[in-house]
Amino acid sequence: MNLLQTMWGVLRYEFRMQIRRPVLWLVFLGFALLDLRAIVSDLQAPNVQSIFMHLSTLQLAATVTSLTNWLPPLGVGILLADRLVRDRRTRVDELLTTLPGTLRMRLLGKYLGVTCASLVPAFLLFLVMVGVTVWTTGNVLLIPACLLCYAAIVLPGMLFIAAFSLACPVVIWLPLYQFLFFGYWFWGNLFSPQVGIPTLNGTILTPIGSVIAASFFSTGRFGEAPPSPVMTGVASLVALLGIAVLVLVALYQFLKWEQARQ
Amino acid sequence: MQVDIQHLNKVYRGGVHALTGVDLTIPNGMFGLLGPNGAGKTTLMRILAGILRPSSGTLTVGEYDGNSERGRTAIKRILGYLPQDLGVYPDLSAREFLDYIGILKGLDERKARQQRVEELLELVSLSDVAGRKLKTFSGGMKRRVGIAQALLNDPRLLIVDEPTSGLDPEERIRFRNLLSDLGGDRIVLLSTHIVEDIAQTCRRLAIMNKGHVIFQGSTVELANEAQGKVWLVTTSGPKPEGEITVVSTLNMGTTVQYRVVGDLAASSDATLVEPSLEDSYVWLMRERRAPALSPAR
Repeated sequence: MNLLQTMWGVLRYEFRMQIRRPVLWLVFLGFALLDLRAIVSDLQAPNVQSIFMHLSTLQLAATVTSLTNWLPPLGVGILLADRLVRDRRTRVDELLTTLPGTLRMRLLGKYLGVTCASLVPAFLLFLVMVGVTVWTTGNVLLIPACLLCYAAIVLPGMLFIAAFSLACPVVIWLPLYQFLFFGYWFWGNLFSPQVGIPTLNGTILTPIGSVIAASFFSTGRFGEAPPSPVMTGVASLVALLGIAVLVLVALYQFLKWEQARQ
Repeated sequence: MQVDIQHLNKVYRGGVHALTGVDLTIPNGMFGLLGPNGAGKTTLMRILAGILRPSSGTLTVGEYDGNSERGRTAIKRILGYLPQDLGVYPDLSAREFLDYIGILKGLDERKARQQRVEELLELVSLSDVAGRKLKTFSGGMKRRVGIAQALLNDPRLLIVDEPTSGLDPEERIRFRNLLSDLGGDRIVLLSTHIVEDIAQTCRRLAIMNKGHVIFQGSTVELANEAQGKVWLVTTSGPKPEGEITVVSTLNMGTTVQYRVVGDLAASSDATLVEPSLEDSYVWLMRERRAPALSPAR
């Protein structure tokens, strides 16, 4: 039995099952309508145009990436949360436990498959926004720059969210997790630390990517941001990805322990 | 190959004794596991399939020790399991679901796996609907998908838990015929509370009640258990009396015919008859009741 082939097979089917969900596309269509309206009006506003004119291609790319990254992670986190607990709900998990394919490979394949599938509409939405920006500014070099920014700013946070969304519903009631995640997303990413209430926003654990954007590209959601050391961005990237790995390892150990208890 | 189970016990959290001192030897061929709901059949199936761990006792499947992690993994490679409540991914088609399970069973070679899937779809008469999503399948069709997935890896140990439960008579007969064809060079363990399923398919069986094995042997031996204890009583009066269990009642109009098992009080209306498997099962359940314990699962 080739473990990598097993993982790849699981990845393919989990991808297929997630990408076929109508609700995934409907939610991102809703996001697209909201974002499109906002970004088109932003790009046409004279004060915004004057800000954007002074940004380099890379900074503009980072700004557009940051602007479009406030709703998609919310959709990914909420819509991915039922993928593992669904195995219990549909009672497939009893059959899966009797199969020789290892739990580790199944879990990894499921994580990568559902995450990639959930990212497809998010990425398409991003490409639409990039297209609108390229059309407005006439700067074709924005395309590769935006792709680079997407990889650096968006992906680490998405992988971080996906790990928690796969793991937490195993121990928390699913609707409760989805509700708490919704609240966390605004508290931990959009809530300003200056309000006086402690928040993760602005720390290296900010999954929306604002710390990475400020650090690598000196930009925020609304153009230039105060300079931030590059190492802060590196620390944020490593922290987000590292915690994602830790969460998956913890999930695996928990599921193994649960099986052994039976 | 055979399955050897010795002094197997399973106690669930809360002190529920699901299995108590189970000793069983299961040879090649069709083997029936009979018992009422709560007897411990499903618990035993799940332990054999590696879903549950026994509290104590030993289990070997051929050369593999079912008490070790390595042994359990080895058993899973030769195992086909159809659970009582088969779960499927409703948004996959039958073909996709079987392919997915085939991947998890280690059938890495894509073309060979797809060919195997097609063969099994043909075997269970689902080729025409293989592209349909599983959520559109009836209970009987899902059960056929279940047996197909269990056979993907050509298992040497096939465990089938209550396969005909909830099926209509036609589906039930189809399933029995399918299972009968699968015996031979593998162990097929069929768990059911329907005596007829065992009678039609198995030569050897065990009967469980309240976590104990109360009978182990051939169907002929079981039938002989109630020899001299089965009566047909035709009467227009009251029910027959004595230490008996009424197996069936047939209203003939002016009279009623009772088929009873047990020690009948003297009566000229009673005719001694040859026991069926069901009669012997009823007799055995009466005579060999296990000590009162918490009901098994």
